[in-house]
Amino acid sequence: MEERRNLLPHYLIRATLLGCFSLYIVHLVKADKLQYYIVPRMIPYVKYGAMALFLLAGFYLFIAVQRGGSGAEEDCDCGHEPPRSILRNGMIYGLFAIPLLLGFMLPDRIMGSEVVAVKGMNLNVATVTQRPSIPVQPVDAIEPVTTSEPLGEMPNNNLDTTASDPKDVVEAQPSAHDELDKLFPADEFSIDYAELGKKLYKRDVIPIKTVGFLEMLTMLDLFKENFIGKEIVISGFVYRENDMKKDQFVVSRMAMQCCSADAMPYGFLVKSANGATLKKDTWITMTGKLSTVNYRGNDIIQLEAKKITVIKAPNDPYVYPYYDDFDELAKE
Amino acid sequence: MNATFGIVIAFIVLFSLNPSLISNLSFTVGPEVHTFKTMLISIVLEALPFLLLGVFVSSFMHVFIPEAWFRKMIPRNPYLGVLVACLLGIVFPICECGLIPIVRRLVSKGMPLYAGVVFILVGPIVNPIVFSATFNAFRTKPEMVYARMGLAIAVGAVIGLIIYYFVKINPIRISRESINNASTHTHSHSCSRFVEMLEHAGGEFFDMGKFLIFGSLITAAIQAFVPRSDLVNIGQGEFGSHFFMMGFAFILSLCSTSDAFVASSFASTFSAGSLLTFLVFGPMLDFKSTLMLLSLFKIKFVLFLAGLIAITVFIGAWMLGNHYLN
Repeated sequence: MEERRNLLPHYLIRATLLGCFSLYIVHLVKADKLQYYIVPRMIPYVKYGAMALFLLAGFYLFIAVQRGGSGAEEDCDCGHEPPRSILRNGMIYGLFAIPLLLGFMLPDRIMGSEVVAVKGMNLNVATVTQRPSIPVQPVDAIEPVTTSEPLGEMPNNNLDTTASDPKDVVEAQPSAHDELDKLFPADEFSIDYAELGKKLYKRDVIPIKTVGFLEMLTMLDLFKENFIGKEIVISGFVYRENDMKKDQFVVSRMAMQCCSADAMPYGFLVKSANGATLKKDTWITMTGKLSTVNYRGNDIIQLEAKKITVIKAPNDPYVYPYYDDFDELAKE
Repeated sequence: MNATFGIVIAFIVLFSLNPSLISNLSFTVGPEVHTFKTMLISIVLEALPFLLLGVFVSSFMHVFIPEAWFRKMIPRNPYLGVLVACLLGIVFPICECGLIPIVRRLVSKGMPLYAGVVFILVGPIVNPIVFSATFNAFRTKPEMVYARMGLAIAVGAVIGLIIYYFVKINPIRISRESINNASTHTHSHSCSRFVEMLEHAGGEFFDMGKFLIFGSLITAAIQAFVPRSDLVNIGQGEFGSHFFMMGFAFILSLCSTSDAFVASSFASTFSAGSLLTFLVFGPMLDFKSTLMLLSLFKIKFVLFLAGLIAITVFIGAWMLGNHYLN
């Protein structure tokens, strides 16, 4: 410590930057926009982070005042002395200022078509989220085939697939259940979805809510043949690709796992006579009849719109993976 | 000089008091810039709490825990030492943003280098948080979780032993002496221990944070400007997919707690083995953490480490992919 440095500017700049980060988070919380960037379960941690930043900012102000008068005090910092060159310091502190400037200066926007254009729309959910999608087979071939493949690794699953709902199998009329089982063939990968499908199969109108959005899309995609003609109620934003017909668009939601960086768009193709009038990124809630169509070489679900209502974008526009009991999704 | 500071601070105070003032200016920029902003803010916000946690834990350890304790914590026997370092993550479940400042402190306090490196590599993977995240992402394929954990430990053990036997020079950027001397001098002046801890935390926050933010900038730029379909189309095939996934994981720089979900979204297009590469290589080495590693080690050592990680992960993931996951 032969040389005495005036660290006062450092203390002040650091206090300012830390304070601004903290303020930015508070600003997002107040504007109720933190969920545009972070999944809800992470939000408490970010709030604690804001408190820690505030504490550090206050601390730097404190030592700036305490040591400021006498120039530099001997610093008990070990290996963390700021570099001496003004240019390097400017670059380092500038780096911290970039997210702050962007954050404060650009409006907080919901991710929509512009993000989808980069990430790519997923229209056949099941093949994306599920590993081996179930080939829809002739009914009588199903029983032996579904279990033969995974048998080697997980012999127990054989039991699970056939007797996952043992009470029902024994008590209720076996004929109806056999029929359902044949309509919803399941292996270990899709058993949960098949069970969900069986419960929803009886309904004429199937609402897709924000909770369990991805899971419902996956289920419908896995067993789309069974749901042809049913009415689907779904909300999302409008997205278009160049090669879609004039009356076609996608009703989509962004699914977020952790933060916006890992968000992926999922949705259904929609066919609507006056669909062309809807601008991209318009939020709609719609009712449509489920059908299938070949798009870019894949059979995918297409909803033939019956009713489309323009709505305000929800405050929390994203959907999140669902980890709870699938039975809850089948409830009204 | 002081005048500039004054003006800058005045501006910052002005718009922090009234943030809407600035957003009302609303000058027009391209949609990519908005995407870039969204990505950048989300990555920074997601990593901040973990970085802060790491910085505070490391400063706490530096100020309050005697050095001898750390030397005792890792057994002298290198095999046992590597094993303990592999499993440390279970006790300290911190992802890489928080881990590197802690290990920097641990190594400077006398933890052997090989153990520190193993902790950096394996800690972000073998811990309860990542276990449950991976389990949830691959709920239909639990072998993936075991393969991920197992391969991470194996890779960590191999690299730890290689470092123990072959690395004789000290690759730490700040020499061990300076840190030790500094910490042994007694802080008899007004600097109480709590103040000392905060000062360390602040210093480390800016030290590590600059790498984190630089890494986030690059990551956000790639996410905003390079279509993901282009990335996916670049490489496929038995070996190609592994190398592609390494590059992909490196560029994306996702936190180990969230990368499993991204990997599972590629489950239909990529082989299980290459996804394993993604899941093990990513947390060990990515853009963000490489920059942070450079703050800890000399460039040569980081390159050496990167090479070792790439080779061992590839061999392991390829073997597991062919013999266990399919």
